[in-house]
Amino acid sequence: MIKVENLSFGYPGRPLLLEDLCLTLEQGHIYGLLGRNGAGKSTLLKNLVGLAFPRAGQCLLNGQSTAKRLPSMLEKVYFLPEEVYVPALSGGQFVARTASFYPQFDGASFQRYLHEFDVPLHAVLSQLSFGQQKKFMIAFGLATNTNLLVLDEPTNGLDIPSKAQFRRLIASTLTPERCVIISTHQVRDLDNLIDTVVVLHQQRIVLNEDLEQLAEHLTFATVSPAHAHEALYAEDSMRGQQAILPNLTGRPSKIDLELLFNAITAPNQALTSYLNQPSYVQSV
Amino acid sequence: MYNLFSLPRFSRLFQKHTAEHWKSYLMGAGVLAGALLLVLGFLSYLNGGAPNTRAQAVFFGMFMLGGGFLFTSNIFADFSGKARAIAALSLPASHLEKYVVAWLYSFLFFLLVYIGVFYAVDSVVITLAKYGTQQKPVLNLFAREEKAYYSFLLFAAVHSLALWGSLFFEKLAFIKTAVAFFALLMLVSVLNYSFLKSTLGVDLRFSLPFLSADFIENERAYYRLTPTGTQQYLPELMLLVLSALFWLAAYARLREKQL
Repeated sequence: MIKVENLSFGYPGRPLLLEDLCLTLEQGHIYGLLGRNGAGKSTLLKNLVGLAFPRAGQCLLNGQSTAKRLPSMLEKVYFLPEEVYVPALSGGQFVARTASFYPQFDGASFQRYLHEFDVPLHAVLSQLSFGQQKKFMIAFGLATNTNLLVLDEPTNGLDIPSKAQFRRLIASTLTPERCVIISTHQVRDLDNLIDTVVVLHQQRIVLNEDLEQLAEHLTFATVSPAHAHEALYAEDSMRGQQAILPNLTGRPSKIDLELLFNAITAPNQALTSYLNQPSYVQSV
Repeated sequence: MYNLFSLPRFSRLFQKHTAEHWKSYLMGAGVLAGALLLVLGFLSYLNGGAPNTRAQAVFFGMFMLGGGFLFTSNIFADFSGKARAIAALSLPASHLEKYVVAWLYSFLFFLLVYIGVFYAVDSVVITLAKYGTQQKPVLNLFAREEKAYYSFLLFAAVHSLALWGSLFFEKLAFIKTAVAFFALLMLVSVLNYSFLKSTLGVDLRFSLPFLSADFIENERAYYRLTPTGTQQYLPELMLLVLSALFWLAAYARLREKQL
């Protein structure tokens, strides 16, 4: 679906933000893109949807370069930025003027999403609160039924009940034809939602793994300080040492995304080295 | 072809642009009418009667160029500012369709509305400010004496420059484009002056490129060399070429715009 080939990107006159990235994203998956502030998550997303042009390499959507921004490509993509823009139109007017650009737009589903989010359709969009505007645009993005749905920090500005509704809606709208990418630094918002985690760190993709696979090969547990040395990564917590260990039992473990992210981006590269071993699957 | 230009999609884009902007455009037309009424009315008051056709032509040109420059500088406002630009650039329509919508509004529709507003205001002023029973004639755009039609050629050049500036500059496009325009004009004029001075070997007066070369010999005789024959159309031709170049540059800028 989306193929990133040796992508390097830097804004003019500035050092590279992304260097020689290679990534393939498939339909039927929800990807969580994680990274520290300033790691280049939003920049990578903009490259994916054709809003920024790589210095080297390319992004392809079904074999078509996204940088050309051709209508046949754009109608298969919906990008929701962190800061949304809404015109001074009512929700109904906006949909009447915009939905027709997306051939797969589903009006009935849109109404349902709006209802779930409790956003009025006929209010003037620019007069809604930021959270309401964002929920309106999330509902619109979901209803476009584009093959690629890219959400940049979608839960920023949402209240707690809306975050839960967001997770429910995203999960319910995933189809075998659709690929969803969610970028966030609030990893807890992605719990039980994503199936693949992608971590961007120091200009590179340092992790791109299926969560089920990770759960089979890693154990997330609280260990006593005496056993901390056995861990691939451990950090102090109120309950003791939160640790990531090789999964020797074969029983899937519940993944702690925050701990995983900390481990991947920590100076200690034991976990990354372990995951990069070609034979780690067999070794457990 | 589908990816370059599709008439149904263009029509939808045009309707979307109209729905989102008609209120501000209508307000702009109102402000223009008010400003014209104020200036022409004040002029009539000072003159003790309505302005003659020559003065009408001058104000017609001035307001057309000034208003057009201001309006066109903001026509691509949807493409500046991160959130707005994302919405505009990622909308499934071609660059050409987005460009043509902006071009039509800022060139064709602006001129149509401007001419309508100007004549409406001008007619009101002339009717109200008639001196005794004598009413001044209304400006004829196609009359050879006033050469009001020449304003359209200048408008094309100003429009193309403003269109390019509205895409090139992220903020304060109007001011920055105006500064860039005057800087460019100054630079070209200085280069032209230096070139002519070294070519003709006389002490020249400063003049704009392609119009004339003025000089005084022995502090007595004043000479003006102007293009003759087909060369006299050189300034008009240069304006058209300049307009076309900046229109193309604006389109290229839209295609290459990244965030």
